[in-house]
Amino acid sequence: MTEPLAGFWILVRHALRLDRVRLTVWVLGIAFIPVVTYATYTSLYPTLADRISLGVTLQSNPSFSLLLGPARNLGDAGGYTAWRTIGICAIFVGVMSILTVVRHTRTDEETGRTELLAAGCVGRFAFLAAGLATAMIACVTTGLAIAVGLVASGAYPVGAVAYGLAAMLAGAVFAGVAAVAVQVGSFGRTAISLSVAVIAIAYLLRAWGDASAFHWIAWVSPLGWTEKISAFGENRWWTLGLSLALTIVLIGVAVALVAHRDFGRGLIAAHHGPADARPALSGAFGLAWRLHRARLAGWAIGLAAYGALVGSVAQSIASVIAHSNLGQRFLGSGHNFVDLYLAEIINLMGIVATVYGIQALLTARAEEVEGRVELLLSTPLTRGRWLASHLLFALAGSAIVVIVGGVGAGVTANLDGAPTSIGAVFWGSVAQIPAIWFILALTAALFGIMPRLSVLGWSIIAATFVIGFFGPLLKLPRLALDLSVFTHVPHLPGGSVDATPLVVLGLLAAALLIVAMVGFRRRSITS
Amino acid sequence: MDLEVATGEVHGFVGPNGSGKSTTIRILLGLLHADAGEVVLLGGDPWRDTVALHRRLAYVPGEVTLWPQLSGGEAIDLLGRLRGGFDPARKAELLARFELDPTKTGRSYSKGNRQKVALVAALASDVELLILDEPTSGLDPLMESVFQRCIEEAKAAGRTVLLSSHILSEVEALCDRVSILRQGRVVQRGTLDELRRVTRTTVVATLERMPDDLAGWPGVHGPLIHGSRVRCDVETPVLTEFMTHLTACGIVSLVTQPPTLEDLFLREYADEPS
Repeated sequence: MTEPLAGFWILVRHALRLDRVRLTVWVLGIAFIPVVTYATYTSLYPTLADRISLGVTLQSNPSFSLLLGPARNLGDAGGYTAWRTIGICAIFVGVMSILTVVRHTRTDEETGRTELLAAGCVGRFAFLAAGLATAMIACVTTGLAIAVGLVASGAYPVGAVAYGLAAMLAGAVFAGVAAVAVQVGSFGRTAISLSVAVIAIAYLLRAWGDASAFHWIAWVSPLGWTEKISAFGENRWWTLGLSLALTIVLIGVAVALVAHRDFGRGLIAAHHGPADARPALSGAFGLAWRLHRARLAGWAIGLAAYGALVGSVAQSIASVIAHSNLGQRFLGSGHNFVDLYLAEIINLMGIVATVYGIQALLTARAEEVEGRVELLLSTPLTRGRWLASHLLFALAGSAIVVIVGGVGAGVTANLDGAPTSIGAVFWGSVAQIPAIWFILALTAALFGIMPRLSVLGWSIIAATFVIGFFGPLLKLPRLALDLSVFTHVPHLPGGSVDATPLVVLGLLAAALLIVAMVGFRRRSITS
Repeated sequence: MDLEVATGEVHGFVGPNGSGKSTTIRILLGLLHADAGEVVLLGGDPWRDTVALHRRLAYVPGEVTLWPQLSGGEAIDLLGRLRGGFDPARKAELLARFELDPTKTGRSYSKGNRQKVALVAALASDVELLILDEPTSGLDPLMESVFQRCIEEAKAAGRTVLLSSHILSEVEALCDRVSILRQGRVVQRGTLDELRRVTRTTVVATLERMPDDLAGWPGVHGPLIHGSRVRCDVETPVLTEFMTHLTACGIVSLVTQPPTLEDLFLREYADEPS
């Protein structure tokens, strides 16, 4: 192989073809966030007085700095959009990049697809280059979609381009991170975990730097640079240079590592396991525990930490909302704004817990597609018991995740002296469970009857998220809002308790679970 | 499809890729619903009596995938426990014979080693029926011979084995009876001897006097004459008659080759449009 990049374009075209739907959804989904935020600014803050008061209250508030970065230029729709959304967009673009790079490099190598191609006329560096190029194409497209969408909504072109470029380069940096991670870990999952950990650290550094006296710490984080460009404000173009330089360095490191490692191996060696199984690893439920425990622990710890973070600023944010024109106008006075804030957080936790649940549920589908179920079901294990083992972790696991997240927020809010009780946030979290289970049961029913469609679970939760968070801002009709099951659960703490929707959702979920079970027992196993 | 496997026999299930071997096996395991026809496995219906039947069998799929986070040893124990327990000494013995390291994790095994994991799990369990779908396609020749010995032992212990394969030497060495599959139908079936009867024996002879009407003899195909040497394929029913004729011509040397399964196979598929 004389040409190290031989076959590069063939691989890129192949990857883009495979990912055409997946990446289109990512790109449009990410661009949607700033564009909708921009479009709703005017209806939220119609008058100049609203906008000035927004700026005054938020600019000096450390809690908002912690969550979103320091507030600037809030008197302008573009400035507000950049402050409100650029951090989350950068994280989403980063995750998209990581998944794309890992999928087309390490995962392929792990499953042996690369070997099939490497035996053909493909250069040593072509796989890495093609994975990176695919991710970069996705990042550039996202940046373009954001810039074009913002300009089309009436934003200043300069600011829109700055925003688009910042989001694009955040994705590029994390593509570089993933390119190194796939050389370090021997498996796709290891590489994804490593890269996501880097995102989490970058977020924490950014949050810490912005909320503390040590502002320089935010400058250590790539997510800090994304925010520091100050799109629609100062437009500090040179911060893009930092992202670009880091991307180049990371890719250089990855290339050097490719040259020094053997095919199929990473720098972290694959570790060995026990020669004999412990007594706990027996039966469907013992196996399900092994397959689900790490992910469940990760989600529970992650949501508890996030809950603790957002809970710790509940008091301060509630007082801002209470005194703002917006709070007065939309919510009226006399509310416990801490409770309102916590209810919103718990609602978000409910949706996030559903994401965990769908992931857990689709483990069952992966077991089927990858052929392991065939081996299991050739033993005296019944189909019902096998499916139940995965349903247990999806249902109980999502309940654990939402409660841990909600209570985490309640505990730190309470420590901060906010007027709320841990019992109230606990019951608020519990009230989310029927809605979570309804969506999971619907996904399970799809798996039971039409397994190929079970990935639609992701579309259901995405639609729920959009309706829940953008529906009221977009002034969607009542009918559309009602499509999200989370519209129907009581907003607790603080809201009124109505058990009817919870009972109805619970019964529907139970019925759908029966459909899932009966359907799965009657259908053929596909692979 | 007409497939019958008798108790206590090793039954070869032979066919090219895509002929329906794995699909048949999946129906036998109750994983797929048969569209039509009657399927009886160990006296039960594989779709209805799944669990009761699965207590009595062990299966090795053609494409073994293991759990990435479980070690090979753990996967073997898990499958063994699901099948109602097994003898750890037997597991250790099989691991040693197949030279398998049980501490590697599922994702770091090669194809052959993943197959060994499934084989050890199946052979270690105490069941009446082994259903093996191309179990040796990833094994090296050394392991292939270990596998053959294990199957012989299983047969000696009175177990029934359904062995799907396209490694014909393996089928020839192990199987009492063979079913040949083509496009979802069993086209030939019987013992190897029975199957040989419908095919031809290759005869190479050096003769004192060359018979002049050789090409016209019924049941004799493709005679090649080179001086006093003749090579031809003879149908089994006319073999005796043919040999009598040859003897009359004075045999100097004679080599006969019984048809291999390879020949059966090739003949069965030779006219298949590809």
